[in-house]
Amino acid sequence: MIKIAHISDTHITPESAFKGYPYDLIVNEINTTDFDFVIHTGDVTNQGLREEYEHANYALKKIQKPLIVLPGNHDSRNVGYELFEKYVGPLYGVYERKDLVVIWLDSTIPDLSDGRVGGYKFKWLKEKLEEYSSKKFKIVAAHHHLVPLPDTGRERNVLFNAGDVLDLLLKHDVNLYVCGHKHVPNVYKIEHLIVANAGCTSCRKTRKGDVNSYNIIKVYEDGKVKVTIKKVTGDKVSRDFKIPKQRIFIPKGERLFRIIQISESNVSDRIYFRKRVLENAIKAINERYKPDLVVHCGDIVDYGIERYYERALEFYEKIKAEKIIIPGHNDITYLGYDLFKEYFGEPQIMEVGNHFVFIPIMTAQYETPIGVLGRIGQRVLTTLLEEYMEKFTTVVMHHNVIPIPRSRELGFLEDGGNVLKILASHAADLVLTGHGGNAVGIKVENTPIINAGSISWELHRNPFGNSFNLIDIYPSMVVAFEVQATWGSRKLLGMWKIKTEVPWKN
Amino acid sequence: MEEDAPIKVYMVKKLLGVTPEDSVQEACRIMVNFDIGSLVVFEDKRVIGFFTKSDIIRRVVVPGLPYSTPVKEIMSKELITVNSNTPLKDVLKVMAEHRIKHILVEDDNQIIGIFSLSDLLEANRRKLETAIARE
Repeated sequence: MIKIAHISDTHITPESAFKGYPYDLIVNEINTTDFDFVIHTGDVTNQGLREEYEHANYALKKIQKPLIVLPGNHDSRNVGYELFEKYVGPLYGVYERKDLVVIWLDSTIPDLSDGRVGGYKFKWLKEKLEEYSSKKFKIVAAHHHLVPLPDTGRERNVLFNAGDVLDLLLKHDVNLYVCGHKHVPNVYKIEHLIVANAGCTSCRKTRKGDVNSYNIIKVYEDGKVKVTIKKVTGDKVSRDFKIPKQRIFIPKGERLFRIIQISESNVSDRIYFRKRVLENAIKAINERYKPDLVVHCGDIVDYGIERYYERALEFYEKIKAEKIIIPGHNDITYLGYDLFKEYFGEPQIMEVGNHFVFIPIMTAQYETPIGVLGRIGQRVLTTLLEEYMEKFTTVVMHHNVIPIPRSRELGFLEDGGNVLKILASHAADLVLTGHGGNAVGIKVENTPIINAGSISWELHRNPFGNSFNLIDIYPSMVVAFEVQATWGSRKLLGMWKIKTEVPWKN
Repeated sequence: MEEDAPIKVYMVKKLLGVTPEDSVQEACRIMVNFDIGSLVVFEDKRVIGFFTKSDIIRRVVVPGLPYSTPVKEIMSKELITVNSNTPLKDVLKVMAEHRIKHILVEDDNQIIGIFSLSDLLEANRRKLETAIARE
């Protein structure tokens, strides 16, 4: 077993932001128990100032275990990243221990709070993952969030290119991503990757009245992992993970439901709108796939003007199946807010048969690609998920709650962290989103979250081309394919065993 | 396509399969429903066989075997595998050597993925779509 202490956000400074007592308490605990090494995921100092680095240099030496330290946004302030190398150590590197490797990097942007793993750094990370591919347990450490975190205010404050980084880590079978940043301790299982955020070890700025804490990570020989959030009050919350390498699916039983998920039709008379592709796709949906429900996750028109809505209605009237159409940010530009209701009606909760319920969530705002659900909206969503707990619940919205490869994190909900937490903790059975122009399917905890690429808009980010998603629900599993809009070839987005309570089991 | 990347980056990590006693017809139904060209055969969480659509044509349809034939009788038992850390270019060499379009990927003597040549054809489909999408 390897035991790791994961500390973060110490914010060492002579000023009141730094609390010496919890720092010494946690360091003493690390020194006197059987930890093998320590990872500090950044914000060592408060402002990146020389006097703070001098103080930090002294304070870090109190830790009598092998120590990995990487910079946070606060450390890079005031050109602090240069002082970091002088007083603390290298900004990125690799640490090996038996069958385990830690690859750690600097995700900061000088003088900004946001994070990024830029072009050369991304390439470096990829090369290191290839180099250490055969290590049994791989950890990547950086300061910034990989997925939105609850109670962080600007919850979409993930890495600028979090979608690409998450995709890279999943492809390379990284076991654990550790980070800090917003002082919120949190542990998520994202597909086969554990994402552990540490709270803050010794900064006064805790959130929601929380106390200082650190994380304890135990990695066992048989592949089990235990992550414990330990607070200075002694309170502990632990989670155990046993993530098998082999993921086997043996389909049994008849298909219960079929959904076609579409997004970003962007119907218009602009050159980027591919009318022929949309016509062919609608024909295939009607004649070949014959779904039980078609869900359009936003941006049905390019601009909210009457001409485009008229055209969009002509296309979508042709679909024979039941439909749920929700507005994206393009749909509510100009007169769109009213036109959407006029042409497609206000999205309603839809119960289908005895088992399925679809909950549309409105997140689009005027003049910005960033969405918001809001505090009342969050309560409404929570209540609905509780109310329909007995059914197979699918939440439908436009904006992303997980990062999308090849896109910047602009399509997030402002309060994406809280929304993701609500969806995961209430075990929504399925979440469908439609921003970012790229298809992806990722399970967070027990909730598969599927984003649709663009069906007929040339300005997309999908190497597969224009596409829509085909989602089949079987008694024990959900299977999602991306279907190439023109050729009909399929690519598996994900297969997930249903681990939530489902009505047909009773 | 990056030739030096380990095959784990390109492979499909979720294995779809049947059990040895399942009939060929049941297997074909799964292949059609999931639109895939191959299936693995599991027994006690172990992969004991593998077959493709063309194996079914060659070993069931042409010899005239009944559709109720269990898959264990027609599956390939000699599995051609590569380790998940093998670079893509070396995997392609192995596939060319055996003239196969699908290959199983193992790690620690456990089959954990499958790689198919069609996974590399994305870019062509996109280009052909762009070519005919213009008005």
